[in-house]
Order: sequence, then structure tokens, then C-alpha cells
Amino acid sequence: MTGFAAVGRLLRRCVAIVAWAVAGLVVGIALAAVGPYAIGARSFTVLSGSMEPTIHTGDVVVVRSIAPLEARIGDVVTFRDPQNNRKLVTHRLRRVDVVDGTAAMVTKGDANNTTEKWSVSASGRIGRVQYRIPYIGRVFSSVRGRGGGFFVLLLPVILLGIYEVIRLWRPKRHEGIKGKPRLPIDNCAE
Amino acid sequence: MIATRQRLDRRLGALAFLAGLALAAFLVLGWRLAPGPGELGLELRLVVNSTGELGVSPAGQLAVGRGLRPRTDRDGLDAQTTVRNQTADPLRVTVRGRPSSRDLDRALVVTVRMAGRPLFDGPLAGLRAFSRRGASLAPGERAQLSVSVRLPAHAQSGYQARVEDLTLELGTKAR
Repeated sequence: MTGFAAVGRLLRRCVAIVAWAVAGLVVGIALAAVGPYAIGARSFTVLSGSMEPTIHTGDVVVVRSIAPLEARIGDVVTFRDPQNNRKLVTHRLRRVDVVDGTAAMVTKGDANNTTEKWSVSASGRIGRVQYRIPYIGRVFSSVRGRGGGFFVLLLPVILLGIYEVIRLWRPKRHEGIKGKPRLPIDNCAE
Repeated sequence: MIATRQRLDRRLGALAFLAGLALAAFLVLGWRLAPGPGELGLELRLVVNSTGELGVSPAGQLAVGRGLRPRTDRDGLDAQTTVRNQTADPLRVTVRGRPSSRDLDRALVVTVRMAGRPLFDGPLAGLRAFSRRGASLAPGERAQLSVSVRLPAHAQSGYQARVEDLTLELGTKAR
């Protein structure tokens, strides 16, 4: 065994370890983003900077459903925009007043100058942000676009191609039974 | 030998994958949003405007205090502006407060001084009417108006998470 071969093997091993570690990191972060769906939580991509510097545009927030009275002043909550029911807003809770079974909430984005007032049934549900995952919402958003879809389709093909090239390039090792080397092929009887 | 090496590679790969997962978990712990403290401080905007007789510079919103709480080093709001008598007559200047709600009448303590002389010092509720004390301004004379708003230690509730405006109105009487 030459020194070059040993160094090459060591290098390959290091690359493989780093690749597996990165794979673990990516899988872990992906699980953190979509895994909470399994326990009823949801995740949303933040599309505006109204909660800067706490939450940045492009962050993904993972939100757990809670009763309005479980919320604490200062919590970051997700609710339906009182002006546009199809839009969700994530802002900090500043005040809660419960009158006749209706919770009147006042929220404000950390970067905003104005508050918004909205109400929800005291027995209803709102979302409380548990954690954020920085910037991966940008990846999700780009994947939703036409170019992103193409990238998602192409990426596994590229990775598979690289893997096949590496497999062809690596010298074949012939193993016999129980790890013993096989005889050279031209010595085998047909 | 080769089989042993492959086993070692597989184990190292698995360990590296687990280390990546652990790093992801560690990062997610760091990305958690702290739960609300239960109470937020008061956000108070202090506003003083010019009148026909008195010019105020700077005018409008003088200061904004965020997260004001009693018994902390951020428990007060201080602001200064310059008031000028724009008339040809000497004036006696008084002050009153117009808060956006009455809820803070007992919670806030306001001190207003003009040219070093106290015009008002007490709970916001006492500033509904024009102050009894006044300051004299000769024609064209300028004086510094200092305003200090505090949440005293006994202010236990009523201010949390509120966003309020306190507009100070300057009153004049010819002397």
C-alpha cells in the first residue's frame, strides 16, 4: 500500500463523514420544519419584515395551536388578518381583554408603529410561535416557483449521476466469502 | 481487512449522521422564541404642539418611551423642547395633559417645568385642567420646557402592554 493510497482513502473517509454530517443536519432541520405537523402544529413562511429583528423575512415559524386565554402578553402569535381573512399574520401580543366570551386582542409587529385589534372566541384557537428556522422559507418559496420545481427534479438526478460516476471511478474490490479476497477472474473456471 | 474497513466507514457515517441530527436539534433549541414575560411595559408617546401665541420647537412627537415599567431604569420618559412667545404681549403660560385614555390617570406621574420653574408635578389625573402654576414669557422670549413622565413603584397594573399618547397643551393668558 502506497502512502498516496492511504492519504486518498483518508481523504475519502473525511469527505464521507462530512457528507453524512451535512445530511444529518439537513434531515434534522427538515424534520424540525415539517415534523411538528405530526403533532398538530403547523409551519408558515414569514413574508414580511414586520417582526424584525425577532423574525426575519423568509424564516419559517413553527406554530402550536392554543386557546386565546393560554397566550401570555409578549407571546408571538399567529392569527387571521382582521382585514383579509385569507391572510395569516404573526405579531406580538400586547393586550388581551375578555368580554362576554370574546377575547379582544391587541397585537403589534416588533418593527411596526401601529397596533392591530382583532377578536376571537374565548373558546377558539390561535397559534403561538414555538420556534423559527432562519431563511429556509426562501428555499420553500423558490421550490414553489417553476425554476424551483425544475431544480427539485434535477437535483436527485445530478446527485445520482455523481454517485454513479464515483462508483465507476472507484477501484473494484473483489471479496470472497467471509471477507477473503477472491481469485482473479481469469483464474476462475467457467 | 476490507470488510473491517467498510464496517468502520459505515459506523463513522452513522455517527456523523447522528452528529448532524444532534447539531440540528441544538440549533432548533437556539431558534426557540422565548415565551412572553407575562407583562409588557407601557409605550408612551409624548406630544407638544405649537399654538397661535406660542411657538414650540421641536414640535409634535417629542419622545417615545417603550417598555416603561415601574422600578426599572427604563421607568421614565424625559423630553425637552423650546417655547417662544410669538406675540407682542407678555404671557403667562400654563399646561394641561390630554392623554389618549383615562386608564393611566393614577399610574403616571408627570413633572412639567418651564425655564426651571415647576408648572406641574403629580399624577396625570391632576393635569386634566390647566396647571395652577404658570411661567411668564416676555414678548419674543424663549424658555425651555422640560417634561418628565414616570411610573412610580406603586403602579402595579393598568399600564402593561398599553400604547398611549400624552399630548400636552399649552395655555396662555396675557399679563
